[in-house]
Amino acid sequence: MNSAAATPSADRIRRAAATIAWGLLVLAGAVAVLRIADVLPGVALGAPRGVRRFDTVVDLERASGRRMPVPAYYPSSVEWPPSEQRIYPDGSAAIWCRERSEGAPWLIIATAPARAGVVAPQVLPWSAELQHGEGSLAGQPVVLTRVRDTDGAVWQQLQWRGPREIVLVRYRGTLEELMKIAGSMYE
Amino acid sequence: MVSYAGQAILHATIAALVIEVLLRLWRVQDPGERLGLRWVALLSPLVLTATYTVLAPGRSTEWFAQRWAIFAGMHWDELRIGGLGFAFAATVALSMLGIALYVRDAVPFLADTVNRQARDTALPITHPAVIRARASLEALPPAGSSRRPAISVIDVASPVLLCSGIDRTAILISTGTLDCLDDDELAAALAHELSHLDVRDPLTGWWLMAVRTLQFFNPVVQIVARQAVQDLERRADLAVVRQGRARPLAAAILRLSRVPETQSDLAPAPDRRSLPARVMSSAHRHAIDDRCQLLLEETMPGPSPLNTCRVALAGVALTLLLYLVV
Repeated sequence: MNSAAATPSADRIRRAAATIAWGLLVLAGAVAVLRIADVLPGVALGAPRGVRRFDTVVDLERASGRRMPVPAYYPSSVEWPPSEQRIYPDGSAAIWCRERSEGAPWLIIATAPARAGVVAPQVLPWSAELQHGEGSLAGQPVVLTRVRDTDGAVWQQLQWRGPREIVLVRYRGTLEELMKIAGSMYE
Repeated sequence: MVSYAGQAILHATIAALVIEVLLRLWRVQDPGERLGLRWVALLSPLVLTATYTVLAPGRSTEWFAQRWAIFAGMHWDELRIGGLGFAFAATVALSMLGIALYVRDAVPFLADTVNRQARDTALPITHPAVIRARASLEALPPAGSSRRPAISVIDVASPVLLCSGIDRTAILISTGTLDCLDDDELAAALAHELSHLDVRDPLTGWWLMAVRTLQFFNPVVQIVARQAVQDLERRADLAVVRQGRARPLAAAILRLSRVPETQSDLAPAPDRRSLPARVMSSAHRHAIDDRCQLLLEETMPGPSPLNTCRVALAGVALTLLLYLVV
């Protein structure tokens, strides 16, 4: 091959490489823009990606296909109906109830189908685990956890696994009250 | 139905933007090459959206949206506007815009086709206007391998200059056009129409109208189809520039664009009846000025050897990208 023939060929390869490089760059840019656009509604609403919110518990139950467990013992300081109903694509669902005077989230009841393994953290307020232990409630094994939220408040949490679903109750009050609330959900 | 429309509009928007950016980054100047890439943008929402809906119904599930999608329009429905989800409201509003854009072009097009067939009678071949038009057409060099088209002259005061037909091609011209243009301008204008016929642009025009009709609700498709028509015009203009008739063609375009009720692909008629019409008229004015400027520059972009590669690359990229946009 002589040099006169090689030069146009090299130029063509260079132009083809530039074409592909620009194409990939545009594709990467489009992906980046779309990913940002995808998270914007969640950022605007303060809910993680994939979480859907409903106006009522009935709407939540219809979407999840499960009834939300409601405790027979319900502290008078906590508002009903819940202020927020959330569901995640893996089937995790949660209701958030606020404290009457402070208006802050105070009681969270969440469920997830047994196949999900855990209640998706996306339906719960962000928290950091402080302490973790195991025990039993009405003869049923439960996991007891203490967590701290973004405001620094400490919550008590109980979680147990039923035949069809996992139930989680997180409460910002005392452990005794949480045990009463959870215990009344068995009865 | 609204969900499908929303996804088609979303896919069309992404495809149109990606193609527009690629046209600029790849510096694609050749109108034929630009047209090829515009077709990718036009067919993406038509072919890909429908194919994915039929062959991959799982894409519409929340699981897919959460696990695989890079963008899920359904998440925008979490934002509420007057009780309606944002995505739903945007789809309805954009569909109405798309229908308005489609009707704006389709109704006059159909009405004009029907009315002209019913109303206009061609002048006899012995008429001086017909003799002049035929002589001008005969003097032009043959365009490609196509047969010489028939030419019909109608006795209408407003300028009409159109080509039609795929196998039995024809040029329709009015006495109003002949009165407007001198011999050089007339030859350039007819050369422009001949080059349309040579590359079967009337057939491309029907395909474009078919795509617009199938996506009548999609405003992005309506806009991209208009851009494709501009590329067709630019391609025909370049064929005239190659014959050394750039200046008379620019003069013909300017003359026809100044006359109300012009019916020609060379120059859309100015319309000043309402504010939107005036805005459109202003946009037309700019488009005509740009077109004449390009003609006078007499730059001759040639097709790139990477043309097919670019179209294929854009098609593959959009096929992958849009699969993950639900």
